[in-house]
Amino acid sequence: MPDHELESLVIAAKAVDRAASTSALEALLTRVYPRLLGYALKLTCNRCLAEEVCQETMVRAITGWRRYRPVRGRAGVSFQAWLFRIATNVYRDIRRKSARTASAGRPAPGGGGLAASAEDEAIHSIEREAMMEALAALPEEQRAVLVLRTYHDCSYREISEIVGCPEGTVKSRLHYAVLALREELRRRGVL
Amino acid sequence: MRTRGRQPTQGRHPRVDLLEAAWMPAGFHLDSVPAEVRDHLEGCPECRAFLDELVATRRLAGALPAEAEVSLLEVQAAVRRAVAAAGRQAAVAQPNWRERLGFVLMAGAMLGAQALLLELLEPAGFMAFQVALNWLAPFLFYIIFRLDNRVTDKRAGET
Ligand SMILES: [Zn+2]
Repeated sequence: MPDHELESLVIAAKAVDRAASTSALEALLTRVYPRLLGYALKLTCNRCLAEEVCQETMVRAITGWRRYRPVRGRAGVSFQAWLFRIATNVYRDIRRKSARTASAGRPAPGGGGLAASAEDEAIHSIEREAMMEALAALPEEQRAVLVLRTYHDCSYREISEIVGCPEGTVKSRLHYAVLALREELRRRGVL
Repeated sequence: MRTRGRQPTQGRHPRVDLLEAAWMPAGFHLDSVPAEVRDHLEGCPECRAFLDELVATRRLAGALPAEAEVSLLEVQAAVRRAVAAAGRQAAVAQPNWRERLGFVLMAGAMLGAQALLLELLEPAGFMAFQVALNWLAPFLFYIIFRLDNRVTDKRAGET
């Protein structure tokens, strides 16, 4: 998922003084928010929960901004991967703590709050709905890996950094997730 | 990306290779499949059907957009809320240097007063002072914490 323009903006934002760096971070967050919310929506399958995850992710990103090291050669982590890692941890924390655990895996109606705009709306909305339901039916760890690979073009290494497990585990989770997704879509009659 | 470093198992269905090929970030391309797997596909309708289903699954997955559709105003409001919340957290987490200095000075003054009274008072009088101080300590702590909270709340409200 390398977004080279974003990464150069991140490096520029880190290079300026502290006050300017914070306002540059706000601009970066504004830019990356739709992607972050897209990830959180598919991870949580719940619009309210996804917004809560994004909010807490941004708070942690702002407070931890000074500790963040952008990609330089083989060191560091991309800004988006860093945010996604925080979001994944925030969601885990919420799942652990919250009494709303029961609703956290429930798919939101209307394609999980992803607003539709395509011309063939009817077909698309059925497919979206089925897809969100199928995603929601996957185990949480498999879902995160599948979403990162499918929608954010993450490499296995990036996914392993985001979800905090070895690359081999990422591969096997992806395999199980794809097979489970296929079964879920079959069961819903869209495949 | 080619699936390097692993050869499809001879005589068995190369399902893992097919799954990896179907789920490449750039989408499925037959060219990205190892030649051995392509040969196998030609003679195995089961694997072709499996691959077709994987490609169809991937296509359906594409029905969901990567980015959420959200207006710029909503995004800006969300970022502003996060900045404000982070500011409040930072204010609560970091007492400023004046507070720290105040506590140090207070502790120094208490120690000085005790040393002075130890010189001035008879042992019985000093003991009585100590007892009174012990009794008062919880109240003093309570007042200090209340003051500290008021200062912190005021600063948090300003961010
Ligand atoms: Zn076969």
